[in-house]
Order: sequence, then structure tokens, then C-alpha cells
Amino acid sequence: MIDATLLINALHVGVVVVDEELNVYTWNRWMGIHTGIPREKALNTPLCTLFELNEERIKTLKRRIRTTLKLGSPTFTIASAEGYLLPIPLPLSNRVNFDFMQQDVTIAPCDTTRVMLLIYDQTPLMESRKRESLKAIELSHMVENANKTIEKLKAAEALLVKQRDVIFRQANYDHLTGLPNRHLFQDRLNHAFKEASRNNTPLALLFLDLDNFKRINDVLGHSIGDEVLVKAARFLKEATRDSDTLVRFGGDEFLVLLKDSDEADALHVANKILKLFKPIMEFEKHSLHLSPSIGIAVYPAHAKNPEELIQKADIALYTAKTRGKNQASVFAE
Amino acid sequence: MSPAFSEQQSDALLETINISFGLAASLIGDMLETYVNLQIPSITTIPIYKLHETILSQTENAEAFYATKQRFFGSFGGEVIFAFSEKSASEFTHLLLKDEKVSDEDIQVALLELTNILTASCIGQLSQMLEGESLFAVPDIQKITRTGASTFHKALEYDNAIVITTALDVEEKNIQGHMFILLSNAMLENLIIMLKKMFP
Repeated sequence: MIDATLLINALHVGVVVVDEELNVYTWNRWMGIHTGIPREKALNTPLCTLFELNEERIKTLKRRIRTTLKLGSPTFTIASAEGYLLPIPLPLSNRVNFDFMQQDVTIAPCDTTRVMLLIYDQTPLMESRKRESLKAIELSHMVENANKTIEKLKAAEALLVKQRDVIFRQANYDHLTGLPNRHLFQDRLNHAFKEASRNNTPLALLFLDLDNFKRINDVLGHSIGDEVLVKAARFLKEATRDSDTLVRFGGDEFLVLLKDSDEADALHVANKILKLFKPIMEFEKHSLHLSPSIGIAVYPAHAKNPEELIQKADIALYTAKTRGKNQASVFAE
Repeated sequence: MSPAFSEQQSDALLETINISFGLAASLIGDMLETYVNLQIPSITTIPIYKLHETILSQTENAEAFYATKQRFFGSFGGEVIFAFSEKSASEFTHLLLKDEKVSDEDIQVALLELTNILTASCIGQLSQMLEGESLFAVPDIQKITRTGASTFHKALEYDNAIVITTALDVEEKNIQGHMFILLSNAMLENLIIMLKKMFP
């Protein structure tokens, strides 16, 4: 027959037998090694003298022993939920994440008044879980940071797109009237020319300036002059289709490009524009006589390329001016 | 009632579990330092493939719930799962610690102590009825999110689950717990044979 004491002392598990008052009856070799408390000192001594146990822990431990005895069946505490039942300090060299040995403890009934605490050291397992958990936290922080960076990049991209739009608008549109400027017009004119040439359709250009605008600017100032230009742009919009291209060409000069339009269509639009300019208009308490002069040139009748079309419309404008202003004139050889 | 048991057998099983819950209620009362009543449980059996959806529906389709798992071996062998909604788990821990602020760790420790009592009393009683005894493995507890609950599909070595639902009446609180005893066909058959012997 094997001696039970020999067997208990050979186990790599802590074995402690206690009663409901926590008095120790058995203390195996493993307990002596890991707690530094020799068997002779531990026996017949309450656990609360051997370990620093607060009142709550003592109460809980006693209750668990009582439960085990009443059930006549083992109960358990586990390291993953509770950490440890008895505060067994770890050697300083082994302390990484925990100061005390992490334990799974089985509280098994011995007889009607005593239970056996079987203490399994789960510190290596818990250290490994802790490392995994720290890695997971680190990874989640990295993901969080990466997401924040992506958000910042997206915001920066949106800002860049917005700025690009602003720059495009500044480069291609007149800030006062909101009409396309000379630069954008050149592009549209070239495109319209190609289209007209390919489809064999006419293209008309109206070159317009405001009569006596320089005097208005000089006498009443630039603020009134700007208002006049804005109003002129509004009239041009009113008189044309969405598919037509309106341009502030510079100063008080405007261009209207009419796709798929011949001389008669151009004259029709020019007359609409002339009618919108009433004989007397009010600008900040000033009554002004405001009128435009309009020169008209048509592709392919008057020009073979965009530059020539502008040039011929300009000549026609000059003719309208010399004929007494406030009228439209079609280019003539 | 359960399709696996006849009406008489179901009554007998209910009576057996009720007896074990009587002892459990007294121990839980000792734990909470107050009078505790464990309501008469409802019992059904389900095939194991329905375990996942049953746990989710029993825990009120909560985003997360606590589940303890413990295997038992011997002449009566299987596995016990307890599931508690977050609300029930927190309320029980408040009662135990008499503190409004409880941590996730507090909840896990409290539920383990509670399920220790319920498992030992219930499985102990059933083992006795089968004239054998069971050895318990160390339990485990987890907080499981709805998406993580599919881990219960791993319980495929079993064929059936006896679903026992009860509630703890204490200090005007109604704390619901759901116990799932996972058994193989052979083990369920043993239980039925024993119930037949007791109630021919």
C-alpha cells in the first residue's frame, strides 16, 4: 500500500485541507515550496494567519467551503475569472504581469467538516493569455490609428478636391459676373469649331461691348461700373440658351457663341439682347443710358478658324459702333 | 413538454430537478444572505443543432450574454452550459456584492459561484438517480457576443440538450438563468430507462 502522505507530497499541485474556520490540517510539500511556509508552521494555523486575507475574502472562502460541504460535491474557482484564491506571491524574477500566482482551485469535500483545496498554478497560461490580450489591444490601437489616418487622408483629399475646384473656377471664370473667362472660352470655341466642321453645321459669334462704358466708370466709379457689368451679364443669360456659351472677354467686352446657328439666328439673339437694355436704367440712384453694340460673324460664311471668327466679329462690332451704336451689325466683306 | 420524455417521465424529471433546486436555493440564499426562491423550472429537450439559436432566443436576443461551461464525467456524463443575459448577471452580482458598481470580473466570479451550486446540486441529483456518480471538470466562463455564440456549434459530440429555465426570486428581482444539459443519445436513453423504472 502506498503511503498517502508520500503521494500528496509528490504532487505538482497544492493540497491544503481546511475546516470551515479555515484551520489547516494538511499542507503538502508543493505548498511549502511555493509559499515559503513550512508544513510545521502551517498545520493547525488558520489560513487567515498564514496569508493576508481581507474580511471579504475570508467570508467568501468560508461560504464556499460551507457550500461544498453541504453539496457534498466539489466547487471551483478559476484563474481567468478570479485570479487567485490564496495570495501566493510569485518570485520577483517571475513577475511579469502578475504579483501573485494565478490559480484554478478545486474545493472538494474530504469528510463532513473539512474540504481539500487543490491549487493548480495557472500563471504561465494566464501570462500567455495576457500577452495575447495585450497584443490584441495593441493591434486594435494600431487599427484605430490607421482608421484615424485614413479619415484624415480622406478629409485632406476632400479639401484638395475643393481647392482644386476653387483654383479651376478662379482660372476659368470671371469672378465678377460668374461667366467663363477668355481662357475657358478659347477651349470651348475650339471644341465648337471641330463639332461644327464635323457635322457641317453653322456657328455664330456675337461680339458685344457696352456703349460709353469707359465714361460711366470714370465718372461714377468702378463700383457702379461693376454693377453695370453684372446686369449686362444677366441680360445675356436671359437672352440665350443654356447650350450657348457666354464669356466676359475682358473689360466691358462679352462674347456669345451660338452653336448650330446661322446669321438669322444670330440676329434674332442680338435683337433680344438689345431689347433687354432699356433706354434708362437705375444704378444706385443714378439713371443711366445703357446700350450695347454687337458685331456678328458666322462660320463658315465669314471665317475658316476660331481666331478669324473672333477677328471678323470684332470688325462687325466696329461697324456697329461707327453706325451709331446700340445696334447689331453682321460682318460684311 | 419535451418530445424525448413521456408526460409522466417529464413530471418525474421535473420533480427530481425541483428537489435539487431546493438545496440550491438554500445555498444561494446563504450566499446572498437573504431568502431566495428558485421558481419551478420549465423543461424541454432540443436537438443539439438548435442549441445556438435557443441560447440566443432564451437570452432575449441580447447583444452579449454570459455563459459558463462545465463537463462532467462518469456513469452520467455530459456538459452543462448556463446562459445569463447581461441584465440578469449584473442584477445578481449587485445583490451579492451589495454594490451598485460591479465590474465584468465581479460578474464572472459571482456567476461561477452560482453555477457551481446549480450544477453540483442538479447533476449530483441526476447521477444519484442513475445510481452512479459524476466527476466535474474545471468550469469556464465567457462573455459572448451574439456573433461569437456560434462557438456552441462545437458541442457536436452531443446529440441533445435538456433545456431548463428557471428564475431566482430575490428582493423583488427576477433573475433568469438558462441551463442546458448536453447529453449523447446513449446518456439520454439511460436517463429515460431510469425514469421508466421509477415511474413504470
